[in-house]
Amino acid sequence: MHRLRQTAAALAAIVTFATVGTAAAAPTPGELKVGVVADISTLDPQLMTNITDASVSQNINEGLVRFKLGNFEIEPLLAKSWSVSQDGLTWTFELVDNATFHKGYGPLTADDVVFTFERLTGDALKAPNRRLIGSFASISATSPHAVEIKLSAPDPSLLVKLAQRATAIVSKKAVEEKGAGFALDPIGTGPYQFDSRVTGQSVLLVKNPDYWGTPATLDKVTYTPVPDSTTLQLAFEAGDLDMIPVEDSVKLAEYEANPELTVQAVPGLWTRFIGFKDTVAPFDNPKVREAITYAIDRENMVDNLFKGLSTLADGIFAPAVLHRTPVVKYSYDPEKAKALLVEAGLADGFSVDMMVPNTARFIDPATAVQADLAKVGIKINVVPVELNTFITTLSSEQGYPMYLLARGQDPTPDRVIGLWFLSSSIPTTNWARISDPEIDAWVKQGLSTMDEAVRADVFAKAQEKFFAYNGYYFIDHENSITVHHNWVKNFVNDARNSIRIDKVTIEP
Amino acid sequence: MARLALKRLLAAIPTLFGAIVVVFFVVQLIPGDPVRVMLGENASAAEVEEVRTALGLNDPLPVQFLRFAGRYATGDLGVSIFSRQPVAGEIAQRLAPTVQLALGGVLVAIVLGVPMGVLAAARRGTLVDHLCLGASTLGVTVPNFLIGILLSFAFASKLGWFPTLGAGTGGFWSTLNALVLPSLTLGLAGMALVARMTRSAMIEALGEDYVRTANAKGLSQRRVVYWHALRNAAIPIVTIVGLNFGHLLGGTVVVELIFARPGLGKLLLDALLARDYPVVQGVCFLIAVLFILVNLIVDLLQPLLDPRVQP
Repeated sequence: MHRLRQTAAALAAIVTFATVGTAAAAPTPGELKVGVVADISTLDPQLMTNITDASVSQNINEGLVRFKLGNFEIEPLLAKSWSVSQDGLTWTFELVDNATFHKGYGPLTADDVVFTFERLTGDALKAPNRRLIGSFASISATSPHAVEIKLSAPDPSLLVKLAQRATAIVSKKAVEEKGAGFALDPIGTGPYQFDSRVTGQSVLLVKNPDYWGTPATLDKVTYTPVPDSTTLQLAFEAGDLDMIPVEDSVKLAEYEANPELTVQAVPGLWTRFIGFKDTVAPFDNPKVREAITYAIDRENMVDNLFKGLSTLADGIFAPAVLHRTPVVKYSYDPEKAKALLVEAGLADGFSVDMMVPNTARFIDPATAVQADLAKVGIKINVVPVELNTFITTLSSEQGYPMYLLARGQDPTPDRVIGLWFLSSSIPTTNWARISDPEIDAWVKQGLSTMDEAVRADVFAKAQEKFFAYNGYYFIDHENSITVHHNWVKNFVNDARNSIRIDKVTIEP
Repeated sequence: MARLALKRLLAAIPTLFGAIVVVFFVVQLIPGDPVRVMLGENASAAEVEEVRTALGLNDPLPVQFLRFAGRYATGDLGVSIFSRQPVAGEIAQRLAPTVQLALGGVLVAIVLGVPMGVLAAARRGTLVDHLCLGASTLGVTVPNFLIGILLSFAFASKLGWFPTLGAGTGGFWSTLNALVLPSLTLGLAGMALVARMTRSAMIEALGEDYVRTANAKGLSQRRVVYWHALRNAAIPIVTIVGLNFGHLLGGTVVVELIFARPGLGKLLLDALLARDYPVVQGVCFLIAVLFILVNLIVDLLQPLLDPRVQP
C-alpha cells in the first residue's frame, strides 16, 4: 500500500508540473537551430533529390547564379556576368575571381565548373538529375575564370536550372580526393562550411571564415530532423528549435495568436487537384467533368478545412511561377451540376472509386469532396493508397479514372508544362490523356524560343485551353509556412520553402 | 554448452538464407519504384528508364538476385540507391542507438514487470493484485505513441528534465538521459506482458510442495517468495522476454519517430517508403540475425536457471 501511495503522489506531481508553464526557452547567440522533417540523405549537390538536402546544401555549395532572396528572379553568384549568343546556343559565364573552396581546397577556377557539369551529365555518376539541362551539349573553359556552355537547342530557362542544386559547383580536387565520401563531407565556396553530422540527429554547419562575399551572419547553424510533427512542435515550443515548418491548421492558428512567435506563409509551388482519366466512362463525357466543377465547394474547403494552410487556386500553376495565367474559374452551383448530369444521361448519378495517397494532406480534402459530390448523386468511395504505389500506377498505362493529388512545379513553367500538357507525355505525366494538336504546337513553340513575349502569349493560350478540358479540377496551392521565435531576425520565407538564412541573426 | 551454441549457430544458417530470399523477393513484390521517388512525379518516362537502367533495376529479377546473393556471400550489403553510401555503414551508424533503446526497453519491462507480477501473485485476490492487473492491462492497451507523446510533453517539453529529441550529444550521461523516456515508452507494453507472465508463473510456483515445505519450516514470506518461488518461475519469464524482443524491435520504429532518435527502425521505414531495396534488405537481414542471436541466448540461459534442462 505504501508503494501505491508513492505512485499516486508521483502521478499527481506529474499532472501538476505538466500544467505549469513552459520551461524557460532561451536562444543561443550566434546559433540558429532549424527543425526539418527529414534527415539528410546526401550533401552532394549532383546527387540530391530532396528538399531538406537542398536547404542545407545551399549554404555550402554555390551555383553560377541564384534566386534573389524571397523570389525567383535571377542574380549573379559565382558567375559575375554572362551573355548568350544570338541563336541561344552558346552561353558564356565570367566567374568571380576571388572565390575559394572551404578548408584549404584552393581557389575556384573554370576547371571546377567544367568538372561539375561533366560530372552531372556524364555516365559515371548516374546522377538522378543528369537530364536537367535537356539540350546540354558541352562545356569548356575559355580562360581560368570563364566558361562556355554549348546547347543543342535554345533553353529559355537555362538560368533557372543553373540556380538549382544539381548544378551547384563542387571542388574538383575534393571530389577526386574524397570519392563517395564527398557526399557527407562536402567542399564548396559558400558562406557556411560543413562541420559534422550525427546520423538521424543533426547536421552542423559553421561560418566560413574566408568567405569571398558578404560574411555569414551566424557562427553556427544546426539542422535537426524530426519526422513526427507533434515532437517537432513540442521541441519548438520548448525553445530547443528556433524555427520549424507548419503543416497543421490548429497549430497554425495557435502560433499566429502567440505574440512571441512569427509565422510566414506564402503560396508554395504546389497545386492540389482532382484528376480524371478522360478516356474512360463516365469521365469521357465532358458534361460529367463539367458537372463536377459545379458540385464542389472548394472555397468552403480552403476557408474551413485548410484554414490558412493553402490558397485558393486561380491558375493551373502556383502564383510564383513565371508565365502563369489566372485561368481557373469555377462557380459552386449544385443545381447546375445535377442538370448537367441529367444531360449526360446520368440522372441517378453514379458511383466511383477516388484514389488518394494515404496521408491527411490528401485524405482530408477527399472527404470534403466526397460530401459535396454526394449532394448531386455522385457516390465517391475514397481509396487511400501508399504514395509510391500511387504514383507508379498513375504514371502507367493503367492510370486511375479519378484521383486526388498535388503536383510540384518549378519557378519557370518549362519542365512541367511539357510534361503535363503535351500529348507525347501520355500516360507517364499527362495523366488526363489530353491530346490536343493546338496545345502541343503552342507548348513546343514556347519551349524553343528565347522571346519572353512570345512565350507569355503561347503559354497563356495553352493554359486557357488545357483548363477548358476539365481534365483536372484545381483546388488550391498549399502554402509554404515557417514559424520562428521572435529572437530570429531577418528570415525571409519563399514559395519553395528553401529556408534561406542569408541575413538571419539571433537577437535574444 | 559450447556444442549446443555451435549446433544452434549452424542451424541458423539455413534460416538466414531463407530470410534473405524472402526479403529480396517480397521487397520486389511491393508495387512502386525507387526512381519514381527519386525523380518525383514530374519525371518523364525516358528519364525514369535511363536512371533505372543505370542503377541495374531493369535487369531480370534472377540476375539481380544472383548479384545480391553474391554480395551477401562476401559480406557486402550493397549501396543505398538514394544516399549512395554503403548499407553496412548506414546500419552501423544507427545500430548502437537502437540496441541501447531495445535493451532499455527490456530493462524497463523486467525491472517494473517482475516485481509487479510477484506482488500481484503474493497478494492474490487483494486490491494490490487488481491494481497490478489493471496497470498491466493499461500497459498493453494504451498505444506506445500516446504514452511517448505524454511522457515527452510532461518531462521533456514542460519540465525540461530530459531532451525532447535525439539520442544525446555523446558521453555516457547524455546518452543515458536521452534514453530514459524512450525506454519507458518502449518498455511499458513489455512490462505488462512480463507482469502477467510473472503473476501466473508465480501463482503456479506458490502452489508447489516445496513452497509449502519452505513455509512449514518457518522461512519468512519474503524469502519464500523471492528465493524459492521466483527462481522456479524465472524460466517462462526469460522465455517470454526473449520472444518479446522481436516485438520490442518492431516497437522501436514508433518510439524512434516520436523521440526523433536515429535508429534502425526509422532507417527501415524510410527505406521501405522510398523503395530503397538494398537498405531494406540489409536492415531485415540484420534484424533476422539479432532475433536468432537473442533466441540463442535464451536457449543457453535455460540450463543455468533450471539444472534439469540438459544442454
